[in-house]
Amino acid sequence: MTQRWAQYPRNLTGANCKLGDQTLISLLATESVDSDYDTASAITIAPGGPFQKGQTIRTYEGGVDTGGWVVEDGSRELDGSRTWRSKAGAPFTNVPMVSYKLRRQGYLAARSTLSETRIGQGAYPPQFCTADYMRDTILGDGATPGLRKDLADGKIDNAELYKRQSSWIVVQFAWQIVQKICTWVGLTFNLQVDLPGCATNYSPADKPALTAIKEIAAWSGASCWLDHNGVLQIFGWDQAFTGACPARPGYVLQSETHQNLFSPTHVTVVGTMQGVVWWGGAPAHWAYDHSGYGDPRLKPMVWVPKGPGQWVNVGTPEPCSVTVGLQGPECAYPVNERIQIREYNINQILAANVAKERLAYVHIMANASKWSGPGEGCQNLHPLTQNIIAVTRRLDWTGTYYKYSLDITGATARPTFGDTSDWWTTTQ
Amino acid sequence: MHIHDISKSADAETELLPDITGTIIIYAGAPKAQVDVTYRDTHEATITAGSTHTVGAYTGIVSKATAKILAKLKEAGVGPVWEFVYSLLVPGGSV
Repeated sequence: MTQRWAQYPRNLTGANCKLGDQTLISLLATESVDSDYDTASAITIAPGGPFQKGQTIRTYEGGVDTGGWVVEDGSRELDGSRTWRSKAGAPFTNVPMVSYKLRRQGYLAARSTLSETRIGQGAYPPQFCTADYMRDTILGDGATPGLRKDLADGKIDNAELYKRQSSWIVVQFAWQIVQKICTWVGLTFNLQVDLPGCATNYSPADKPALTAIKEIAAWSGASCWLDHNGVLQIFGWDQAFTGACPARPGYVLQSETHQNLFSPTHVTVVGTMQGVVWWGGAPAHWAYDHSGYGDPRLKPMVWVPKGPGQWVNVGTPEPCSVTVGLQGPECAYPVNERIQIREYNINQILAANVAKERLAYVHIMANASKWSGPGEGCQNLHPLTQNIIAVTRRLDWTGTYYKYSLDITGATARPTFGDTSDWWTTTQ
Repeated sequence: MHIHDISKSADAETELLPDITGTIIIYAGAPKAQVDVTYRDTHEATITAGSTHTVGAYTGIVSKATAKILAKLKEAGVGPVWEFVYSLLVPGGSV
Protein backbone atom coordinates (compact mmCIF):
# COMPACT_ATOMS: atom_id res chain seq x y z
CA MET A 1 0.00 0.00 0.00
CA THR A 2 2.79 2.37 0.92
CA GLN A 3 4.54 1.76 -2.38
CA ARG A 4 1.39 2.45 -4.37
CA TRP A 5 0.80 5.59 -2.37
CA ALA A 6 4.32 6.77 -3.13
CA GLN A 7 3.79 6.31 -6.85
CA TYR A 8 0.94 8.74 -7.02
CA PRO A 9 2.54 12.18 -6.64
CA ARG A 10 5.00 11.67 -9.49
CA ASN A 11 2.60 13.01 -12.08
CA LEU A 12 1.99 16.21 -10.17
CA THR A 13 4.12 19.20 -11.10
CA GLY A 14 3.96 22.95 -10.83
CA ALA A 15 2.73 22.99 -14.42
CA ASN A 16 -0.39 20.92 -13.76
CA CYS A 17 -1.18 21.94 -10.19
CA LYS A 18 -2.17 25.55 -10.48
CA LEU A 19 -4.67 28.27 -9.80
CA GLY A 20 -5.10 30.01 -13.12
CA ASP A 21 -1.51 30.54 -14.24
CA GLN A 22 -0.08 30.47 -10.74
CA THR A 23 1.65 27.39 -9.36
CA LEU A 24 0.04 25.96 -6.26
CA ILE A 25 2.12 25.49 -3.15
CA SER A 26 -0.90 24.27 -1.25
CA LEU A 27 -4.63 23.89 -1.74
CA LEU A 28 -7.40 22.85 0.59
CA ALA A 29 -10.76 22.63 -1.15
CA THR A 30 -14.01 21.59 0.50
CA GLU A 31 -17.09 20.88 -1.56
CA SER A 32 -20.26 19.91 0.22
CA VAL A 33 -24.01 19.90 -0.24
CA ASP A 34 -24.07 20.53 3.49
CA SER A 35 -22.90 24.13 3.09
CA ASP A 36 -24.15 27.02 1.00
CA TYR A 37 -20.88 27.53 -0.85
CA ASP A 38 -17.81 25.41 -1.49
CA THR A 39 -14.67 26.98 -0.09
CA ALA A 40 -10.95 26.68 -0.68
CA SER A 41 -7.74 28.18 0.59
CA ALA A 42 -4.63 28.23 -1.54
CA ILE A 43 -1.05 29.48 -1.52
CA THR A 44 0.52 30.14 -4.91
CA ILE A 45 3.60 31.63 -6.49
CA ALA A 46 2.31 34.64 -8.39
CA PRO A 47 5.02 36.41 -10.40
CA GLY A 48 2.38 38.64 -11.97
CA GLY A 49 0.82 39.58 -8.64
CA PRO A 50 -2.33 38.37 -6.92
CA PHE A 51 -5.61 37.91 -8.74
CA GLN A 52 -8.10 40.64 -8.01
CA LYS A 53 -10.92 40.09 -5.55
CA GLY A 54 -14.10 38.93 -7.25
CA GLN A 55 -12.16 37.44 -10.17
CA THR A 56 -13.16 33.92 -11.19
CA ILE A 57 -10.17 31.58 -11.54
CA ARG A 58 -10.05 27.84 -12.20
CA THR A 59 -8.00 25.30 -10.30
CA TYR A 60 -6.15 22.45 -11.96
CA GLU A 61 -5.01 19.51 -9.90
CA GLY A 62 -2.77 17.07 -11.70
CA GLY A 63 -3.88 18.66 -14.96
CA VAL A 64 -7.57 18.10 -14.26
CA ASP A 65 -9.86 21.10 -14.13
CA THR A 66 -11.49 21.12 -10.70
CA GLY A 67 -13.70 24.11 -11.21
CA GLY A 68 -13.94 27.84 -10.97
CA TRP A 69 -13.48 29.86 -7.82
CA VAL A 70 -14.19 33.45 -6.91
CA VAL A 71 -11.36 35.25 -5.15
CA GLU A 72 -12.68 36.37 -1.79
CA ASP A 73 -9.32 37.52 -0.50
CA GLY A 74 -5.84 37.45 -1.98
CA SER A 75 -3.03 38.54 0.27
CA ARG A 76 0.59 38.94 -0.74
CA GLU A 77 2.93 37.58 1.89
CA LEU A 78 6.26 39.27 2.55
CA ASP A 79 8.22 37.63 5.29
CA GLY A 80 11.95 38.16 5.48
CA SER A 81 12.84 34.75 6.76
CA ARG A 82 10.32 32.88 4.61
CA THR A 83 10.21 34.77 1.33
CA TRP A 84 13.54 36.59 0.85
CA ARG A 85 15.08 34.26 -1.64
CA SER A 86 17.37 33.97 -4.62
CA LYS A 87 15.61 32.11 -7.40
CA ALA A 88 18.03 29.80 -9.18
CA GLY A 89 20.98 32.05 -8.44
CA ALA A 90 19.34 35.30 -9.48
CA PRO A 91 19.63 38.34 -7.24
CA PHE A 92 17.68 38.17 -3.99
CA THR A 93 14.10 39.29 -4.01
CA ASN A 94 10.90 38.27 -2.27
CA VAL A 95 9.27 35.12 -3.63
CA PRO A 96 5.84 36.35 -4.79
CA MET A 97 3.76 34.11 -2.53
CA VAL A 98 0.06 34.83 -2.38
CA SER A 99 -2.46 33.38 0.01
CA TYR A 100 -6.05 33.11 -1.23
CA LYS A 101 -9.47 32.52 0.24
CA LEU A 102 -11.75 31.23 -2.47
CA ARG A 103 -15.46 30.60 -2.90
CA ARG A 104 -17.17 28.59 -5.59
CA GLN A 105 -17.84 30.20 -8.96
CA GLY A 106 -21.22 31.92 -8.91
CA TYR A 107 -20.76 32.97 -5.28
CA LEU A 108 -21.24 36.66 -5.97
CA ALA A 109 -24.49 36.11 -7.83
CA ALA A 110 -25.85 33.51 -5.41
CA ARG A 111 -25.19 35.57 -2.31
CA SER A 112 -26.61 38.80 -3.72
CA THR A 113 -29.82 39.96 -2.12
CA LEU A 114 -32.93 40.48 -4.19
CA SER A 115 -32.96 44.18 -3.49
CA GLU A 116 -34.26 47.13 -5.45
CA THR A 117 -30.71 47.87 -6.61
CA ARG A 118 -30.35 44.38 -8.04
CA ILE A 119 -33.70 43.74 -9.67
CA GLY A 120 -34.74 47.25 -10.61
CA GLN A 121 -37.22 49.70 -9.23
CA GLY A 122 -40.04 48.48 -11.47
CA ALA A 123 -39.85 44.90 -10.25
CA TYR A 124 -39.37 45.62 -6.56
CA PRO A 125 -40.63 44.19 -4.28
CA PRO A 126 -40.72 40.92 -6.22
CA GLN A 127 -44.00 39.07 -5.66
CA PHE A 128 -45.02 35.78 -7.21
CA CYS A 129 -48.38 34.07 -7.16
CA THR A 130 -50.28 31.34 -8.93
CA ALA A 131 -53.06 32.11 -11.40
CA ASP A 132 -55.59 30.67 -8.95
CA TYR A 133 -54.36 32.90 -6.17
CA MET A 134 -54.47 35.92 -8.44
CA ARG A 135 -58.03 35.19 -9.53
CA ASP A 136 -59.49 34.00 -6.25
CA THR A 137 -57.61 35.92 -3.58
CA ILE A 138 -55.99 39.02 -5.01
CA LEU A 139 -58.75 39.97 -7.42
CA GLY A 140 -61.70 38.16 -5.86
CA ASP A 141 -65.01 37.98 -7.63
CA GLY A 142 -66.54 41.22 -6.48
CA ALA A 143 -68.36 39.57 -3.58
CA THR A 144 -65.40 37.96 -1.83
CA PRO A 145 -62.54 40.09 -0.45
CA GLY A 146 -60.11 41.27 -3.10
CA LEU A 147 -59.31 44.08 -5.44
CA ARG A 148 -62.57 43.73 -7.37
CA LYS A 149 -64.49 44.09 -4.13
CA ASP A 150 -62.43 47.18 -3.27
CA LEU A 151 -63.20 48.51 -6.74
CA ALA A 152 -66.91 47.82 -6.33
CA ASP A 153 -66.85 49.53 -2.93
CA GLY A 154 -65.13 52.53 -4.44
CA LYS A 155 -61.99 52.13 -2.34
CA ILE A 156 -59.76 52.00 -5.40
CA ASP A 157 -60.10 52.97 -9.05
CA ASN A 158 -59.30 50.92 -12.12
CA ALA A 159 -55.81 52.36 -12.40
CA GLU A 160 -55.00 51.36 -8.85
CA LEU A 161 -56.46 47.90 -9.42
CA TYR A 162 -54.24 47.43 -12.46
CA LYS A 163 -51.20 48.76 -10.62
CA ARG A 164 -51.67 46.38 -7.70
CA GLN A 165 -52.47 43.46 -9.97
CA SER A 166 -49.43 44.03 -12.14
CA SER A 167 -47.11 44.15 -9.14
CA TRP A 168 -47.50 40.36 -8.99
CA ILE A 169 -45.70 37.94 -11.29
CA VAL A 170 -48.06 35.08 -12.08
CA VAL A 171 -46.38 31.68 -12.35
CA GLN A 172 -47.59 28.17 -12.94
CA PHE A 173 -44.60 26.26 -11.59
CA ALA A 174 -41.98 26.86 -8.92
CA TRP A 175 -39.14 26.58 -11.43
CA GLN A 176 -40.44 29.74 -13.07
CA ILE A 177 -39.74 31.62 -9.84
CA VAL A 178 -36.25 30.08 -9.75
CA GLN A 179 -35.74 31.11 -13.35
CA LYS A 180 -36.75 34.69 -12.65
CA ILE A 181 -34.49 34.96 -9.61
CA CYS A 182 -31.56 33.48 -11.53
CA THR A 183 -32.14 35.99 -14.33
CA TRP A 184 -32.12 38.86 -11.86
CA VAL A 185 -28.80 37.86 -10.31
CA GLY A 186 -27.14 36.29 -13.37
CA LEU A 187 -27.04 32.65 -12.32
CA THR A 188 -27.63 29.58 -14.42
CA PHE A 189 -29.45 26.59 -12.98
CA ASN A 190 -30.15 23.00 -13.84
CA LEU A 191 -33.16 21.04 -12.68
CA GLN A 192 -32.15 17.49 -11.78
CA VAL A 193 -35.68 17.02 -10.45
CA ASP A 194 -39.05 18.59 -11.09
CA LEU A 195 -40.34 21.14 -8.64
CA PRO A 196 -44.04 20.30 -8.36
CA GLY A 197 -44.58 22.11 -5.08
CA CYS A 198 -45.39 25.78 -5.44
CA ALA A 199 -46.66 28.22 -2.84
CA THR A 200 -49.66 30.23 -3.93
CA ASN A 201 -47.91 33.49 -3.07
CA TYR A 202 -44.28 34.23 -2.36
CA SER A 203 -42.02 37.25 -2.03
CA PRO A 204 -38.24 36.77 -1.94
CA ALA A 205 -37.62 40.50 -1.40
CA ASP A 206 -34.27 41.25 0.25
CA LYS A 207 -33.34 37.59 0.62
CA PRO A 208 -30.06 36.27 -0.77
CA ALA A 209 -30.79 34.58 -4.09
CA LEU A 210 -29.48 31.23 -2.87
CA THR A 211 -31.60 31.37 0.28
CA ALA A 212 -34.71 32.09 -1.75
CA ILE A 213 -34.02 29.30 -4.22
CA LYS A 214 -33.32 26.81 -1.45
CA GLU A 215 -36.64 27.80 0.09
CA ILE A 216 -38.46 27.31 -3.20
CA ALA A 217 -36.75 23.96 -3.81
CA ALA A 218 -37.76 22.82 -0.33
CA TRP A 219 -41.43 23.12 -1.33
CA SER A 220 -40.74 20.02 -3.41
CA GLY A 221 -38.39 18.35 -0.93
CA ALA A 222 -35.38 19.43 -2.99
CA SER A 223 -32.26 21.48 -2.37
CA CYS A 224 -29.48 23.02 -4.44
CA TRP A 225 -25.71 23.15 -4.77
CA LEU A 226 -23.39 25.32 -6.87
CA ASP A 227 -21.38 22.97 -9.06
CA HIS A 228 -17.80 23.35 -10.37
CA ASN A 229 -18.94 25.72 -13.11
CA GLY A 230 -21.12 27.87 -10.90
CA VAL A 231 -24.31 26.26 -12.19
CA LEU A 232 -26.94 25.88 -9.51
CA GLN A 233 -27.86 22.20 -9.47
CA ILE A 234 -31.32 21.68 -8.05
CA PHE A 235 -31.51 18.13 -6.76
CA GLY A 236 -33.78 15.88 -4.78
CA TRP A 237 -32.25 14.12 -1.81
CA ASP A 238 -34.02 10.90 -2.83
CA GLN A 239 -32.76 11.17 -6.38
CA ALA A 240 -29.19 12.12 -5.51
CA PHE A 241 -28.68 9.70 -2.64
CA THR A 242 -29.89 6.27 -3.62
CA GLY A 243 -28.36 4.27 -0.80
CA ALA A 244 -25.91 2.56 -3.17
CA CYS A 245 -22.26 2.36 -2.16
CA PRO A 246 -20.69 5.81 -2.48
CA ALA A 247 -17.61 6.38 -4.65
CA ARG A 248 -14.30 5.88 -2.89
CA PRO A 249 -10.66 6.78 -3.52
CA GLY A 250 -8.62 4.38 -5.66
CA TYR A 251 -6.92 3.19 -2.50
CA VAL A 252 -8.65 3.59 0.80
CA LEU A 253 -6.11 4.47 3.46
CA GLN A 254 -8.58 5.38 6.17
CA SER A 255 -12.30 5.02 6.66
CA GLU A 256 -15.00 5.80 9.17
CA THR A 257 -18.48 4.34 8.98
CA HIS A 258 -21.26 6.00 10.89
CA GLN A 259 -24.85 5.30 11.79
CA ASN A 260 -25.94 8.09 14.06
CA LEU A 261 -29.19 8.64 15.85
CA PHE A 262 -31.49 11.03 14.06
CA SER A 263 -31.95 14.41 15.60
CA PRO A 264 -34.61 15.50 15.01
CA THR A 265 -36.72 12.42 14.30
CA HIS A 266 -39.80 14.42 13.37
CA VAL A 267 -40.38 17.79 11.77
CA THR A 268 -43.57 19.79 12.05
CA VAL A 269 -44.23 22.52 9.55
CA VAL A 270 -46.86 25.03 10.49
CA GLY A 271 -48.25 27.92 8.55
CA THR A 272 -51.42 29.23 7.06
CA MET A 273 -53.49 28.34 4.02
CA GLN A 274 -55.20 30.86 1.82
CA GLY A 275 -56.09 30.69 -1.81
CA VAL A 276 -55.60 26.94 -1.58
CA VAL A 277 -57.73 24.88 -3.91
CA TRP A 278 -59.41 21.90 -2.25
CA TRP A 279 -60.48 19.01 -4.45
CA GLY A 280 -63.29 16.71 -3.35
CA GLY A 281 -66.15 17.20 -0.96
CA ALA A 282 -66.72 20.37 0.96
CA PRO A 283 -64.15 20.89 3.72
CA ALA A 284 -65.40 19.92 7.19
CA HIS A 285 -65.81 23.42 8.47
CA TRP A 286 -67.74 24.54 5.43
CA ALA A 287 -71.09 24.21 7.22
CA TYR A 288 -70.45 26.76 9.91
CA ASP A 289 -69.31 29.29 7.41
CA HIS A 290 -71.91 28.61 4.78
CA SER A 291 -74.39 31.04 6.28
CA GLY A 292 -71.95 33.85 5.76
CA TYR A 293 -71.36 33.17 2.11
CA GLY A 294 -72.02 36.22 0.06
CA ASP A 295 -71.65 38.59 2.97
CA PRO A 296 -68.12 38.70 4.31
CA ARG A 297 -69.19 41.02 7.11
CA LEU A 298 -71.03 38.21 8.86
CA LYS A 299 -68.30 35.58 8.83
CA PRO A 300 -64.82 35.34 7.41
CA MET A 301 -64.99 33.76 3.99
CA VAL A 302 -63.32 30.42 4.18
CA TRP A 303 -64.28 27.96 1.46
CA VAL A 304 -65.97 29.11 -1.70
CA PRO A 305 -67.15 26.76 -4.45
CA LYS A 306 -64.82 27.09 -7.37
CA GLY A 307 -66.02 24.44 -9.78
CA PRO A 308 -67.25 20.87 -9.80
CA GLY A 309 -65.73 19.21 -6.76
CA GLN A 310 -63.47 22.18 -6.04
CA TRP A 311 -63.40 24.72 -3.26
CA VAL A 312 -61.07 27.60 -2.77
CA ASN A 313 -59.97 29.03 0.53
CA VAL A 314 -60.21 32.82 0.54
CA GLY A 315 -60.46 35.55 3.14
CA THR A 316 -59.19 34.60 6.57
CA PRO A 317 -56.17 32.29 6.43
CA GLU A 318 -56.60 28.79 7.85
CA PRO A 319 -53.93 27.23 10.08
CA CYS A 320 -52.10 24.30 8.55
CA SER A 321 -49.82 21.90 10.35
CA VAL A 322 -48.06 18.78 9.04
CA THR A 323 -45.70 16.47 10.91
CA VAL A 324 -43.41 14.01 9.14
CA GLY A 325 -41.22 11.42 10.85
CA LEU A 326 -38.28 9.23 9.93
CA GLN A 327 -38.11 5.47 10.35
CA GLY A 328 -35.88 3.96 12.99
CA PRO A 329 -35.85 2.71 16.55
CA GLU A 330 -35.16 6.19 17.90
CA CYS A 331 -38.37 7.45 16.29
CA ALA A 332 -40.36 5.82 19.09
CA TYR A 333 -38.96 8.64 21.21
CA PRO A 334 -39.66 11.59 18.97
CA VAL A 335 -37.43 14.61 18.88
CA ASN A 336 -39.53 17.17 17.13
CA GLU A 337 -38.37 20.23 15.24
CA ARG A 338 -40.85 22.92 14.33
CA ILE A 339 -40.59 25.03 11.20
CA GLN A 340 -42.93 27.98 11.11
CA ILE A 341 -43.67 29.64 7.80
CA ARG A 342 -45.24 33.03 8.22
CA GLU A 343 -44.31 34.89 5.06
CA TYR A 344 -46.46 33.01 2.57
CA ASN A 345 -49.27 30.51 2.38
CA ILE A 346 -48.68 26.79 2.42
CA ASN A 347 -50.75 23.66 2.01
CA GLN A 348 -50.39 20.14 3.36
CA ILE A 349 -48.38 18.82 0.44
CA LEU A 350 -46.00 21.74 0.46
CA ALA A 351 -45.62 21.55 4.25
CA ALA A 352 -44.91 17.81 4.08
CA ASN A 353 -42.29 18.41 1.39
CA VAL A 354 -40.56 21.07 3.48
CA ALA A 355 -40.51 18.67 6.43
CA LYS A 356 -39.20 15.86 4.23
CA GLU A 357 -36.44 18.06 2.85
CA ARG A 358 -35.24 18.78 6.37
CA LEU A 359 -35.54 15.15 7.46
CA ALA A 360 -33.85 13.81 4.33
CA TYR A 361 -30.87 15.97 5.16
CA VAL A 362 -30.90 14.69 8.76
CA HIS A 363 -31.13 11.10 7.52
CA ILE A 364 -28.31 11.47 5.04
CA MET A 365 -25.98 13.18 7.49
CA ALA A 366 -26.71 10.50 10.09
CA ASN A 367 -25.65 7.84 7.60
CA ALA A 368 -22.58 9.67 6.35
CA SER A 369 -19.35 7.70 6.17
CA LYS A 370 -15.89 8.88 5.22
CA TRP A 371 -13.09 7.40 3.13
CA SER A 372 -9.63 8.89 2.71
CA GLY A 373 -6.96 8.15 0.15
CA PRO A 374 -4.80 9.53 -2.65
CA GLY A 375 -6.43 12.30 -4.62
CA GLU A 376 -5.01 11.59 -8.04
CA GLY A 377 -7.56 9.97 -10.30
CA CYS A 378 -10.42 11.27 -8.14
CA GLN A 379 -10.43 14.88 -9.28
CA ASN A 380 -13.78 14.51 -11.00
CA LEU A 381 -15.59 13.25 -7.92
CA HIS A 382 -17.81 15.88 -6.41
CA PRO A 383 -21.01 16.10 -4.38
CA LEU A 384 -24.16 14.70 -5.99
CA THR A 385 -22.19 12.14 -7.99
CA GLN A 386 -22.21 8.52 -6.81
CA ASN A 387 -23.88 9.29 -3.47
CA ILE A 388 -21.21 11.76 -2.43
CA ILE A 389 -22.16 14.37 0.16
CA ALA A 390 -18.80 16.12 0.44
CA VAL A 391 -15.27 16.02 -0.91
CA THR A 392 -12.20 17.57 0.69
CA ARG A 393 -9.02 17.66 -1.37
CA ARG A 394 -5.61 18.56 0.02
CA LEU A 395 -2.62 19.36 -2.13
CA ASP A 396 0.62 20.21 -0.36
CA TRP A 397 4.14 20.76 -1.60
CA THR A 398 6.32 18.75 0.78
CA GLY A 399 9.64 20.26 -0.31
CA THR A 400 10.41 17.76 -3.02
CA TYR A 401 7.01 16.55 -4.29
CA TYR A 402 3.28 17.16 -3.97
CA LYS A 403 1.27 15.21 -1.48
CA TYR A 404 -2.28 14.93 -2.71
CA SER A 405 -5.08 13.38 -0.73
CA LEU A 406 -8.83 13.51 -0.49
CA ASP A 407 -11.62 12.65 1.90
CA ILE A 408 -14.94 11.52 0.52
CA THR A 409 -18.05 11.70 2.67
CA GLY A 410 -20.83 9.61 1.23
CA ALA A 411 -24.36 8.64 2.21
CA THR A 412 -24.82 4.94 2.74
CA ALA A 413 -28.60 4.95 3.05
CA ARG A 414 -31.53 6.46 1.23
CA PRO A 415 -33.93 8.59 3.26
CA THR A 416 -37.08 6.76 4.27
CA PHE A 417 -39.99 8.35 6.00
CA GLY A 418 -42.36 6.89 8.53
CA ASP A 419 -45.60 8.38 9.67
CA THR A 420 -46.98 11.54 8.18
CA SER A 421 -49.78 13.18 10.03
CA ASP A 422 -51.58 16.33 9.21
CA TRP A 423 -54.61 18.02 10.47
CA TRP A 424 -56.70 21.01 9.76
CA THR A 425 -57.87 23.43 12.33
CA THR A 426 -60.24 26.30 12.01
CA THR A 427 -60.04 29.68 13.55
CA GLN A 428 -63.49 29.51 15.09
CA MET B 1 50.82 41.47 13.37
CA HIS B 2 51.30 38.40 11.26
CA ILE B 3 48.42 36.47 9.83
CA HIS B 4 48.92 32.74 10.26
CA ASP B 5 45.70 31.24 9.03
CA ILE B 6 42.59 32.19 7.06
CA SER B 7 39.49 30.04 6.68
CA LYS B 8 36.44 31.20 4.67
CA SER B 9 32.95 29.73 4.46
CA ALA B 10 29.62 30.76 2.94
CA ASP B 11 26.27 29.00 3.20
CA ALA B 12 22.60 29.60 2.56
CA GLU B 13 19.35 27.81 3.34
CA THR B 14 17.89 26.26 0.22
CA GLU B 15 14.46 25.01 -0.60
CA LEU B 16 12.90 23.48 -3.66
CA LEU B 17 9.70 24.97 -5.01
CA PRO B 18 7.55 23.94 -7.97
CA ASP B 19 7.44 26.19 -10.98
CA ILE B 20 4.81 26.84 -13.61
CA THR B 21 7.20 25.36 -16.18
CA GLY B 22 6.93 22.00 -14.47
CA THR B 23 10.49 22.00 -13.22
CA ILE B 24 11.58 22.27 -9.62
CA ILE B 25 13.59 25.39 -8.87
CA ILE B 26 16.10 25.91 -6.08
CA TYR B 27 15.49 28.96 -3.99
CA ALA B 28 18.23 30.13 -1.63
CA GLY B 29 17.66 32.15 1.47
CA ALA B 30 19.42 33.41 4.60
CA PRO B 31 22.88 33.65 3.01
CA LYS B 32 25.79 33.83 5.42
CA ALA B 33 29.54 34.31 4.84
CA GLN B 34 32.20 33.91 7.47
CA VAL B 35 35.94 34.29 7.59
CA ASP B 36 38.11 32.99 10.43
CA VAL B 37 41.42 34.79 10.71
CA THR B 38 44.27 33.79 13.01
CA TYR B 39 47.11 36.20 13.66
CA ARG B 40 49.85 36.70 16.21
CA ASP B 41 51.07 39.87 17.85
CA THR B 42 53.40 40.85 20.65
CA HIS B 43 50.83 43.10 22.29
CA GLU B 44 47.86 42.10 24.33
CA ALA B 45 44.63 43.57 22.96
CA THR B 46 41.05 43.69 24.14
CA ILE B 47 38.68 41.44 22.19
CA THR B 48 35.03 42.38 21.69
CA ALA B 49 32.20 40.31 20.17
CA GLY B 50 29.36 41.80 18.19
CA SER B 51 31.23 44.81 16.91
CA THR B 52 32.66 45.54 13.51
CA HIS B 53 36.28 44.61 13.29
CA THR B 54 38.94 44.55 10.61
CA VAL B 55 41.69 42.00 10.46
CA GLY B 56 44.03 42.36 7.53
CA ALA B 57 41.86 42.71 4.43
CA TYR B 58 38.70 41.42 6.10
CA THR B 59 36.01 43.43 7.85
CA GLY B 60 32.93 41.93 9.48
CA ILE B 61 30.91 41.50 12.63
CA VAL B 62 32.80 39.59 15.28
CA SER B 63 30.82 36.46 16.08
CA LYS B 64 33.60 34.99 18.16
CA ALA B 65 37.07 36.11 19.20
CA THR B 66 39.75 34.39 21.25
CA ALA B 67 43.15 35.56 22.48
CA LYS B 68 45.74 33.20 23.87
CA ILE B 69 49.21 33.88 25.19
CA LEU B 70 51.97 31.71 23.78
CA ALA B 71 54.52 32.16 26.58
CA LYS B 72 57.26 30.02 25.08
CA LEU B 73 57.40 31.94 21.82
CA LYS B 74 59.04 35.18 20.92
CA GLU B 75 58.71 37.15 17.74
CA ALA B 76 61.95 38.76 16.53
CA GLY B 77 63.17 38.44 20.07
CA VAL B 78 60.13 40.13 21.55
CA GLY B 79 57.81 38.22 23.80
CA PRO B 80 55.40 37.07 24.90
CA VAL B 81 53.44 36.35 21.73
CA TRP B 82 49.63 36.57 21.63
CA GLU B 83 47.57 34.55 19.18
CA PHE B 84 44.20 36.01 18.19
CA VAL B 85 41.46 34.12 16.37
CA TYR B 86 38.60 36.18 14.96
CA SER B 87 35.42 34.77 13.38
CA LEU B 88 33.92 37.54 11.26
CA LEU B 89 30.45 37.42 9.74
CA VAL B 90 30.52 39.28 6.45
CA PRO B 91 27.29 40.89 5.17
CA GLY B 92 26.13 40.07 1.63
CA GLY B 93 26.77 36.39 1.68
CA SER B 94 30.15 36.49 0.00
CA VAL B 95 33.68 36.93 1.27
